[in-house]
Amino acid sequence: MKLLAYDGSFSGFISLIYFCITKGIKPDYIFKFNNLPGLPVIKIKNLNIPLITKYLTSKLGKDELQNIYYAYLSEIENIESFIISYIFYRINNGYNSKINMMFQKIVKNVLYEISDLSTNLIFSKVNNIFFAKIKPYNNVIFPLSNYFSRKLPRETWIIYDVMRSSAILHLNRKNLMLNNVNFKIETKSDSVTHLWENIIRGKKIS
Amino acid sequence: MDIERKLEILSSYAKYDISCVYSKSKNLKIRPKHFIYYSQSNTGKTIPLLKVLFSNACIYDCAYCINRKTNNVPRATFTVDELVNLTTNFYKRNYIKGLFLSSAIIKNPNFTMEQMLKVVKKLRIKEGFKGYIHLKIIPGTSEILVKEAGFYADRVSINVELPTKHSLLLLAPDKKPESIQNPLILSSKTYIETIHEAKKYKSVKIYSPAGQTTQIIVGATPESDKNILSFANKLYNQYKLKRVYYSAYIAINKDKRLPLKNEEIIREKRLYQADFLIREYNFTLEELFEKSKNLNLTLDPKTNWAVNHPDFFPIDINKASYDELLRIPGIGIKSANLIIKARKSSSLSFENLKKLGINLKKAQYFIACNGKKYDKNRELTPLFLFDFTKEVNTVETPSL
Repeated sequence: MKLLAYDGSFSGFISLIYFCITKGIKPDYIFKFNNLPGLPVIKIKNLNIPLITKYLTSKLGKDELQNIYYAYLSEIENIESFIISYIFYRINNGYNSKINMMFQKIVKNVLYEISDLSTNLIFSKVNNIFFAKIKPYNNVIFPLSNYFSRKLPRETWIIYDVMRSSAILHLNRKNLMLNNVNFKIETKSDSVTHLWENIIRGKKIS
Repeated sequence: MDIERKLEILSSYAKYDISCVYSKSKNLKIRPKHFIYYSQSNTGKTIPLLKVLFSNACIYDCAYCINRKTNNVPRATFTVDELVNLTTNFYKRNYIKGLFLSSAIIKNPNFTMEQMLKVVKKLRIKEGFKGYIHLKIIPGTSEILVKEAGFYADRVSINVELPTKHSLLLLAPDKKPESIQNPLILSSKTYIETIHEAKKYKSVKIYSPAGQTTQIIVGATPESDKNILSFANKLYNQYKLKRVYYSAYIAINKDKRLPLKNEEIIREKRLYQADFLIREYNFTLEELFEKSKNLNLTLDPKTNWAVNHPDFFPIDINKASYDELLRIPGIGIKSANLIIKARKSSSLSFENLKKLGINLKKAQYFIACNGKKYDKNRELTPLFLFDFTKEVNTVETPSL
């Protein structure tokens, strides 16, 4: 049984992919450093990420690497080893319809959630900071924050992921990751919310 | 007047300027009440836009319009700052992704356009607004303002309103045909020029990058569907418009020049379908109007054409060209591409088509696979057959 472990970040996972490809290892289970079992595990350290990214792009293509990232965000149990088995099929020009379909389904699911939240997430204004609370099934806070940092670059905002107790603070055009946070903010309706609810949502218009 | 009342008036009177409603509402008789306009992007994403008028205090007297000067309706006009603040506040809360700004004509066309441009400029320059902006160009606006509008908005549109000069002069006597035609020509020229220049120099900003559109009222005047679509064809081919929107006439005003009843929304839907067939499916106008000058309201134009051409069908899925596949009712561009890609590896059966996700509900009557037509009954035959009639016959009738 081949057991591997990485630091839990996507950079760490990329290093792990590189290790598996170059050594030809197909792991059975992949652990994160903070969740190691009492079994012998090969720990993978972070390598030169830009170089590895370049290597993987040449092997798989830019779009496929992006899809791997989205699949990784799904946080399905042992998704890492599933992704690696998918990569092995892709590199060896093999085609396994079951794995391929499953991979596409996972990617589609994550992309749908990003698209859905980017449209339906609502900010409320608390002390001049725009605050939004989300409960996503997938870990989509990073792609979401990228979207909103393009949309609202000048504003200060926080997107709080209740499920993972993490948040992203956008301040001075920079995104800061906040881990293990627990915001207890009560959002009050202001004049803008009132206008939106009463006028635009069609309550007053016949 | 406070902002709430202004918004109430100006968004409620923007609702008559609606198109493409059939796609959002399943019930064709109901028009949506809310004023968030869902624009469709090239990638298929829907973009919620705040649809609002800058003002409804109009100096014109167009017969079909709710905001005409002779109508006794509450009037309101935003100030530039009010509309900018409203849009940015909604945008920052992620309620909307853009603005769809139109207006009635206050004072004169140039003054109105100047005010609308001030809003757009302030949003883009001062507020750093990165959302989508659809700006209506007011008929009769000067060349300078038309040119400027397209460099701040993502899309500009000029409503041609009616398909003939006679109808326009009859129902909108204040709008001269040239006042619509000239800005339309100028904006399409500028659009084409900037596209060509952008191919040479990367720094060139494209005029109205999402293209231009227009809107035609259907059913207010007696023009046939053929007339309307041939007019739309001209707009697509000569003026290079991205889309022509059809809006079924709503009888808001009582006027001798107008019909008493609303136009059926199904007519609007059929026009959109025919419009797509001409633009995307290589149908010609003559093909769609062989027997009548109006579209069949009970059947969609493609099915109607197929029913009238039984000699063309059934089409063998494994041999048909791309254009032939597109003629089959129920098969669109996506399905045709899927079929062509899939049949390269092996010939396709009806089962394969189902697996590919092709909707056979309509297509089954017009296709064949390797010379065989679709046999629905054969597929539904149960595994174990019981002949009940035999059993009934063998039961002896009890003697009395």
